[in-house]
Amino acid sequence: MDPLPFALKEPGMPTIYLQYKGVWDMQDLYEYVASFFNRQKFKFYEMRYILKKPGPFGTDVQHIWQATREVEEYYKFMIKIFLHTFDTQDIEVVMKDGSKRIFTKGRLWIQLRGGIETDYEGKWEENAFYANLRNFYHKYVIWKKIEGIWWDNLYYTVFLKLQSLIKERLKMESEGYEHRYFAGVR
Amino acid sequence: MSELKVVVDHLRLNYTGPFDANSLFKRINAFLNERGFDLQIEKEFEQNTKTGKHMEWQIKPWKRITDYTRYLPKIRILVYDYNKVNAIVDKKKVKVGNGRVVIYIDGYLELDEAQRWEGLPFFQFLRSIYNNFVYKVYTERFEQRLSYDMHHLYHTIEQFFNMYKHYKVVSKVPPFTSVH
Repeated sequence: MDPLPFALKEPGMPTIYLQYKGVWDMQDLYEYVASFFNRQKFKFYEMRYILKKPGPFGTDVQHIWQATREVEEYYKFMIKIFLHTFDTQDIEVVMKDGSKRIFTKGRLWIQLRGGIETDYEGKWEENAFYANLRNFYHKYVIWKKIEGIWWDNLYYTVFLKLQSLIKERLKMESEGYEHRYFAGVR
Repeated sequence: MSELKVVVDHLRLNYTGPFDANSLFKRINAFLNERGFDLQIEKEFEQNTKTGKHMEWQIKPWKRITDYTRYLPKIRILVYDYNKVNAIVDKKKVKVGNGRVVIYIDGYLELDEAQRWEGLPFFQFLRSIYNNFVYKVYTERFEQRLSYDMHHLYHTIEQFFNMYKHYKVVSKVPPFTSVH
């Protein structure tokens, strides 16, 4: 049997890199990201949790999270978050109201990746004819729609918003962004 | 690879003194948004060090001019030793950021962005002929517009920093000394 032709690639989404060194509330960040995806009707999966043997400067933890939303029968949004914390130590922080909480002190490295996955059920991969037909459909019929509507929707209303919210939770100086209310207030 | 032309090469701006980093980032984003650029954030690094915050912010917005051409500027901001300090503005005490900032602005013009003329060396040769001779007028016009936009942005950032020239940092200029 002949191998199936390669699927035409959907437009890629640029990877966003975030790096932070300081004090942050890891529990809050985790819950906030999970609730963000929940609000946006995504399914949120914690794919991997790797705890490495603590080094002299602190522990080293890697998280890989994935969120998917089946928007229609034919395409779905997918976001992958790679979160790496290293040289971390738990510290006790006194809040403004006098209460004490445990925060994390160390370094944080976040990579955000996303994309649109078409034909996610693989219905058009039964044989080479179907696969070619699908490629033709992507390339000549719905390419503008993929690039101009679906992609924009994912990028501006989910991807950049998530990045902005993460910055907000980390209290970074560059928090807030221009397209936050791009598609209406939510 | 599509053809990438460097139009603005490392336009650099240095500033040391009081300024608000968040407002600076927002100002640049607003400028690009007003001019119809799509936003691509590449790096957002922030590190709390003993001397203050160290930040690196890099964006690479883009704007499609035709189905053949797009603008691809790159803005990189480095902030060193950023701290919140007390300052006197109009005889009132306010908290503002203070630090050293270096801004680099690059402007690239991307031709044949869909890479339709990439397949064969002969096509690439044809593309070069078209870009440099046949469509020279258009190519140069696009270059000029991009250059204008980037210099306008530079000017806007300069204006932004000039806003802070009447801020007097208390640790450097005590509030009881005369202003002039």
